[in-house]
Amino acid sequence: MNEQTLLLVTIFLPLAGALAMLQLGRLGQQVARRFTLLVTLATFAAAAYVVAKFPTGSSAVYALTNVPWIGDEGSLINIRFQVGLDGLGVWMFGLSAMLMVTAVLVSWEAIKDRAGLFYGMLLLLEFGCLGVFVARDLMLFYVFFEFTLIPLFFLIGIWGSEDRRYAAIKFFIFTLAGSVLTFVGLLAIVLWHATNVNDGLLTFSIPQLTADLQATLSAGNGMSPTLQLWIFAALFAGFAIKVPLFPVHTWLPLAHVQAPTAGSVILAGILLKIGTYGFVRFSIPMLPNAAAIAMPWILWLSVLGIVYGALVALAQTDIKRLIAYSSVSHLGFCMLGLFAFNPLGLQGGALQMVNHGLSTGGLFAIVGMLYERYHTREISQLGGLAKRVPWLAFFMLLFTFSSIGLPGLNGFVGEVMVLVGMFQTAWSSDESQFMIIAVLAVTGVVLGAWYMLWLVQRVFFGPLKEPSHHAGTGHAEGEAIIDMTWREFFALAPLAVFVVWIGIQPSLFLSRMEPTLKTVNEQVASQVAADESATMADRTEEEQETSVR
Amino acid sequence: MYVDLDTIKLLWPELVLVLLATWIYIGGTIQQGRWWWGLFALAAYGVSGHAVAVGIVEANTVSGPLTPDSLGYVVRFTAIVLGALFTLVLTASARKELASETIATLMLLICGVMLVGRANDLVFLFVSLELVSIPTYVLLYLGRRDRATSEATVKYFFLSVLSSAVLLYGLTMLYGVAGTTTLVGPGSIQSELQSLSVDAGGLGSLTPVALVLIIAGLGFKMAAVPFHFYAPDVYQGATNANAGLLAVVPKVAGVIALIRVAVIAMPNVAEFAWHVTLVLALVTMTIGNVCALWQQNLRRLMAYSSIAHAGYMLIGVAVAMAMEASGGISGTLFYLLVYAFGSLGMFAALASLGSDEQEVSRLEQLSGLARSRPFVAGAIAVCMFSLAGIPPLAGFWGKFTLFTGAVRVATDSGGQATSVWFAVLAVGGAINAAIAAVYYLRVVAVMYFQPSREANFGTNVGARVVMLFAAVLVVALGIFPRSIFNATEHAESSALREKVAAQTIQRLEAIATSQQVP
Repeated sequence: MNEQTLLLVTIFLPLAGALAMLQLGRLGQQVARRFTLLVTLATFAAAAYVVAKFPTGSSAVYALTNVPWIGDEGSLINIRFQVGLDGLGVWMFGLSAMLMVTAVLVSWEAIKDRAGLFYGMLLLLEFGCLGVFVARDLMLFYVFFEFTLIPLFFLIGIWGSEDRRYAAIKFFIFTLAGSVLTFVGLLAIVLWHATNVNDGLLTFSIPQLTADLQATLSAGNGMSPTLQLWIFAALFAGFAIKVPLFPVHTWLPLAHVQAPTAGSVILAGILLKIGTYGFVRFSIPMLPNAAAIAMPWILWLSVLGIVYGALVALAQTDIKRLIAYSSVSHLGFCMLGLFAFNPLGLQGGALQMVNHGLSTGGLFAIVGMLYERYHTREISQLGGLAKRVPWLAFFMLLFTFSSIGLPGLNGFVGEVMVLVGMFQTAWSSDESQFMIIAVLAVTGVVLGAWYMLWLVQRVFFGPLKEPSHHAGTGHAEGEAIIDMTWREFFALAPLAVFVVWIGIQPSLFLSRMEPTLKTVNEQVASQVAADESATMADRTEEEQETSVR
Repeated sequence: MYVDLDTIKLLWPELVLVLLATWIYIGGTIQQGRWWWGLFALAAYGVSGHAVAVGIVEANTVSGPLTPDSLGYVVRFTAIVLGALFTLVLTASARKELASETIATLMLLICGVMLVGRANDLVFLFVSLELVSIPTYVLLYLGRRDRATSEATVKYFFLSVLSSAVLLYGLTMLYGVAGTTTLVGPGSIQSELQSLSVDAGGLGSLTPVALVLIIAGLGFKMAAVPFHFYAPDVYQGATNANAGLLAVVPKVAGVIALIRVAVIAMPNVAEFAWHVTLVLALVTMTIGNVCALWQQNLRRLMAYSSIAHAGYMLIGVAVAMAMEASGGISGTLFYLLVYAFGSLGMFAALASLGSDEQEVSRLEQLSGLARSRPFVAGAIAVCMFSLAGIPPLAGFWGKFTLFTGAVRVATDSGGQATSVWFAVLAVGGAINAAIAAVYYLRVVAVMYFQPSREANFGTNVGARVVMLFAAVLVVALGIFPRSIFNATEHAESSALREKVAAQTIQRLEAIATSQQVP
């Protein structure tokens, strides 16, 4: 099988599984979960093969399939089924396939009610996630992007905790409100391109749009910065809510806390990255001037999110809510790297997307495992659990270290690259605000270590404290607390492997991302430089004018 | 306007429906029974549909008051499909002794829509619209006999008559300005108005007045703000099947009539027209969506939803007015189709749950439906997500075509002010899509997230079939929307071709006269 076919198989296998679940789901929980595990494992195997074959040192799209979907070459609307992998999407694609296996394993015992529907939705969600990262057509991307909302809406709303209905609707509406504006922005890009470049024909091919928009910019007849800013703002609405940037993050803690474990793992691990991915895929390369103008603002929002998320996380009493707020902080780091506008920061931000998926996905899975044992997530009710569940404690510590950036693990590589990238920008710029941002970001690292380690210390070390057997929230009397089962081990082990692997051999991962990100960066850098020289010229003119006066 | 044997031939599909409807009225007094006449009506729609299909190949001639463009064909096929589907719903839910009358009246109504679809003459158009209105009064009254229904019917009747009068006033004024009743073609309203200035203080200055009256009259049919007040009350008072009919069929007729008259035939007021329509679109969407947020009665909720969707359709109308061949007409048509099937699916599902003792009308009656009736809940969920415009369902592509049109005008038009207006329209539409999602999701949430309660739902087989058909269609068109894209684009270009042809003739005439002068 060649790589194109294999990529298509990877994408459509979960969809086929979900359709099969319509019938299989009636046979009960046992059949549903086994079948879903099989499907996700097969998908993961296929995805792993494609990712392993992904070539280094090339920014070309790998395993490209390009067939007409709506309209065709030369017709008014040309929406194509165009899928392929490039350096930006390849690791998120692999991560999605991997985290789905984890999601199935952590739901194994937890989901008893309407299991067929649950696993069907999970597979649909996998289809959507994989699709987002391979889509090379703008409409195809958007269809997958919004489609992911539907299964997650049901996952949160049916299998979530007490406040699930409100959380599901809030999550859906918040995301949709942003993404419909994104939709209008994307349409504006396409139509500007159609009017000015493409003889009125609407093309939705992302590579073509990117190339043409940049060509017109360098030729001097590109989109005006004002229009770019408007479109950038429209795109920003959707992507910023998805990331989520401060102050539009309020849906996230709620959705995370109410979602079932699998939902939290997928939401934190994959879905949030669609926002950052959108910035790198669309906003930055297609609207470089606007991105350059918005850069300080976005950096400020990111760093506010880093510090705010960390401070709020410190104050949490619920483990899941704490990790949810840590996501706000960590995604701030991603954005900081991406918008530092230098190769190091961009790569660090892109790597941090994967790192956060691994560590936070793992942490949410562990919280779910603890909840299954003790039926509580209150930090104050737990303590010294390392004695009871040493293996679980080990994984908790590993993912915590990864999350706070301990050298030797993946988080360190990403964080250092992001921070160094940010400091580079700060030093090379004559504006002092970048230095303030960089320094604030470093305090975020310190705060991050504080709240995470404090959490681990309170829950896993010190004197043993378990919820009382008689209290309503405690586990049933006589139910022994056991350490990790093999099922749980296999849910976390793959994540742990990559946490260590990326930490030890980051070049393996970076080298596959580098060419794509380098082109993105070059494009922005050239525009930013052009802008700066223009503003310099303006300034000198102004100075001359004032001196004349 | 002339009528000859050819015109009668061209009208054959509609005549079939009228003749067979009469047959059902008469036969119904002798032979009672729902399915007997239900199947008969389905066969009639089959014959009529076949006649339309044959007509495509046969005639491309303009004859009398009929236009042969493919916009008309799209509308007629849609009308026939909707007719057949509503026949299924109504056959199973109408009272047994009135089944034949209900079915026959529906056939006349559908015939009216088909005629509106191809009308090229003011008088013909008005009479066709009346053929839509009058059977609607009868159908509303046939549905149920209680105070609420009587009130709803009377309310609808009086307001509809009033709107017809307003429309007629607008049409006469248009006739007064142009001096002809033909809409498009050589020597038509469209070619007369082409050269008529609005500001001259002469006859031309009456065209904006005519336009406003026409929009008001047709706005009632579409349930557009500020002519929407009847919708919630009337829908609530009607049966589920009839409310579905009201939500879909008059809207199709109103939108097509608006396209035929205000978009294609009145070029000299386009500038004024798109301003009016754009503001109406924004206001209609917003009022419809915001009012729907608090509704607990399902038919009221769907009434406000139908108002909001009328606002969306007006986006396309405004786009078509502001810029020729901009995809405005095809977008409106596309949206009309996906709205019709999404809405039909919802009302059919509600009708299918009703039994003789109890009708489903409050939102909480649906709670836990996902457990007790998984297929109905699934179909409703699909329709709700489609109406909310979530991909990959058909409703998403409807929004896509409309927003594309608005953004196209915003990026491509010369004027700065026009760009801003249409950018505001696109963003307003987008924000409204998010507001609308709140109440559509509420319906889904009640069905899926709440415990089920004991309820004896009915089993209305006809409505169940229609519901499944609509849901499957909404999904299928969402994944493979190419066919409707092609059909609606073709409809737009063909509807405009008549216009372009007329313009060319006029230009040639102008050249000829200018050459004669020296």
